[in-house]
Amino acid sequence: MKLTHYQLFCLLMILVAPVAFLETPHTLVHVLYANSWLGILTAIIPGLLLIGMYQYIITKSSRPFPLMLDEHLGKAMGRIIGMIYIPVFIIVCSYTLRLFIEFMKMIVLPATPISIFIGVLLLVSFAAIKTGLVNLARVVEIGVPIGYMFSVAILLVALFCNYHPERLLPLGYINYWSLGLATAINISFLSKLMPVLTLAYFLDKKQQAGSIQRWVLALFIPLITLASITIIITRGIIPALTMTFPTFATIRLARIGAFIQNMDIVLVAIWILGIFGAVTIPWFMACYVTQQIFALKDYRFIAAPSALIIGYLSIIICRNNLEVVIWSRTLIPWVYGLFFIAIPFIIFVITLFKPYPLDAGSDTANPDTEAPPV
Amino acid sequence: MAKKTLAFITLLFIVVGITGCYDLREINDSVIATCLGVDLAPKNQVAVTVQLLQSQTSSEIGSASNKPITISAVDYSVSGAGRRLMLSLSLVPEWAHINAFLLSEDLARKDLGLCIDFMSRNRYVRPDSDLLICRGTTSEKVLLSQLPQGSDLGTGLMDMLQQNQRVLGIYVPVTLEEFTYRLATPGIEPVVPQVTLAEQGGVAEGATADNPDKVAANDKKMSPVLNGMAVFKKNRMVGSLSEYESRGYYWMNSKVRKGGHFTMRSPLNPKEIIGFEVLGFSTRVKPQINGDNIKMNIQVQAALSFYEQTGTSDLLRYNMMPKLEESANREIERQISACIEKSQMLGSDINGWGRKINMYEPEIWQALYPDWPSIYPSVESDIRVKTVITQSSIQSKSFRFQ
Repeated sequence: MKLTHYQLFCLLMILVAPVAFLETPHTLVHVLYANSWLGILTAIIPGLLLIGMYQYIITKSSRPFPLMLDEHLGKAMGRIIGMIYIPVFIIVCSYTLRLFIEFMKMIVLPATPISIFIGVLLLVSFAAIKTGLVNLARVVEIGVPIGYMFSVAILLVALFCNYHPERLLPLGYINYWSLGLATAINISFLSKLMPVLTLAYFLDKKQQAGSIQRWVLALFIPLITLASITIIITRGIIPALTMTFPTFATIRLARIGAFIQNMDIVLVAIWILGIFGAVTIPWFMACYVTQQIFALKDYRFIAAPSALIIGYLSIIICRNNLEVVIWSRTLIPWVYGLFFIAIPFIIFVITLFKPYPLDAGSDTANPDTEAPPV
Repeated sequence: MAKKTLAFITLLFIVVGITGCYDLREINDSVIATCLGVDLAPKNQVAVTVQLLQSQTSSEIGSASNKPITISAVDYSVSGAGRRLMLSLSLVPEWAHINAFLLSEDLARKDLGLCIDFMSRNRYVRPDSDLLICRGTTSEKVLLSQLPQGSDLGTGLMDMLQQNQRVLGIYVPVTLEEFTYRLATPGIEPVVPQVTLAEQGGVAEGATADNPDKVAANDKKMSPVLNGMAVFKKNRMVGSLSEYESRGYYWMNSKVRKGGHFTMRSPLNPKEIIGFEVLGFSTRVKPQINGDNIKMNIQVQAALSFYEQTGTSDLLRYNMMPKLEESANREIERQISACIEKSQMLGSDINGWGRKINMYEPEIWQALYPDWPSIYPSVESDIRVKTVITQSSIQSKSFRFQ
């Protein structure tokens, strides 16, 4: 069973967009203030370079991540680094789950015990992993266009409900260090695309993963830019700095006339679907990397034990929402930067001096490159 | 079969979880909160008053009606008092439907710190609710009063603010979002419409920002009336704009750039009054800085309709138009000047001039920012108004008796 191009696009989009929609504008506003949206636009070229790097690694590798680590770093080093990625994906998954819990507890259902949130989401994600990646792909290929269009629509409604464009000024009054930092933060969130190093091998032709990633970038940048601009215009910089989820606080302003109000709850419903994808894919990656590193027969059975780890970790990872914000603004960009950019960059440099594999122009039908059943 | 049973049980569990049973609130157990007021209470406490709407069906086949209920509670914090409402309430208020948020003048004058955190942090308080200051009275009294049209106060006050802006053009509505933004942002201070109580059906005659009690003397069938704007500086209210000064504020700060009406003396006969309807206007405020000299250039362009005259002077002549326009220019300039003078006298930058300097000259603002409160009262302004009379309603000449 293979993924279609559209399914891969949706999987990558749901991997990066829902969490970034909530987090990136918030993080950037602390760095660039009224010009935080510029930090997203300046990420276009680095984003293209990042995608180019991933695609080059895919093209130069005959086997998917983490087996490509063996291929380029040697078996011993490849396995060691591959093993490190197992807790990394589990941490990413747990953190995303915790972010979801905090959001739900703070905004939507404050009286519901967090065990309910964790239990329900893990159960759904567990079912998705057990039944295979394609089932997840089929869900997100419906959820992504709906979620994307509705997110843009509700942002535009909120924008024009409280339109203060002068709050974007002073335009361009930034220092280059802050701009560079903001670009780096944005790229670190975009680097969640890294699982493409595995997922691309589920396509008929892995070479086409590059254009799919560029499409993701092409839709990701306008969405996050719009979210960032809307926050500044509708809420202002100083209030946004104090908010835990300024994107959501902005969406609360959306109303159509005096008769359609409280539209934010609809976005919450759609956002839950996005978080389902954002939690499931790193979890799938943790299971898949474990299977490949330890040469196990299947990755599906790892989902059950890892569910306990993910659930428990999401509880102990932070004591309160203040620590979640600290994770979001300080630790997580470094985790993404190290494991999703720096290590792939080392592999990229190594692949620069390697010839193309024999099957580089063919599809994944070669037994060595055959993706496991999805 | 076992797998299917397991899957069914799993789905059942998910369905129960997804409904959010822990936060379940039945509509029959809820009541709509439309307006919330906060007053100062003895012993440094706050009183929270809320108007609730309970849907009632007049008969089995009759139409539903909404009966407003007003209740209050006192505590040491706003949220504490809000929760204490449950001591006398069997239904859970749906706070997200609050359209208007009232603050009493004494609380606003004492310290906004008593309620600002509640206004910005509480997830049930919607940022797009309109804020009003109860001038010379308490929000409890306002909430116990009634609008002449009988609608609930939350919706009624919100509509009143909107209609005043479109029809009269005096008061600029301020949402909680705008209020907290101005309180938190350097170089701009909040100004909020005030509401006083007047005898129902009557005009708020004699009501001024400085003497609102004139209209609140009679407690019988009182209804809320918009009356001036409260000026804030840092954490407290420091004064008020009169209706005339509020018009000046409106020209400089209204987001709605059309609508409104103003009157002035006729240039031909000062005993005659002329009324103009504002068809549309645009305002540009830009700082001009030469060394230590800061001047704000204010340019207003307005399209007016000659709406009424209280006499028969032959005003609608071709050669009179420039004179009428010039008089209108001077009148608008006076309104704007009055607003600026009052805000400078109170030392509150309600027009956001500091923010304007930050927008256009950010480097200069960095140097000015620490001393801005002392600089602002002496900042000069250059007001230039240009009006064009484009219409004269359905008559092109003044009325003439035989």
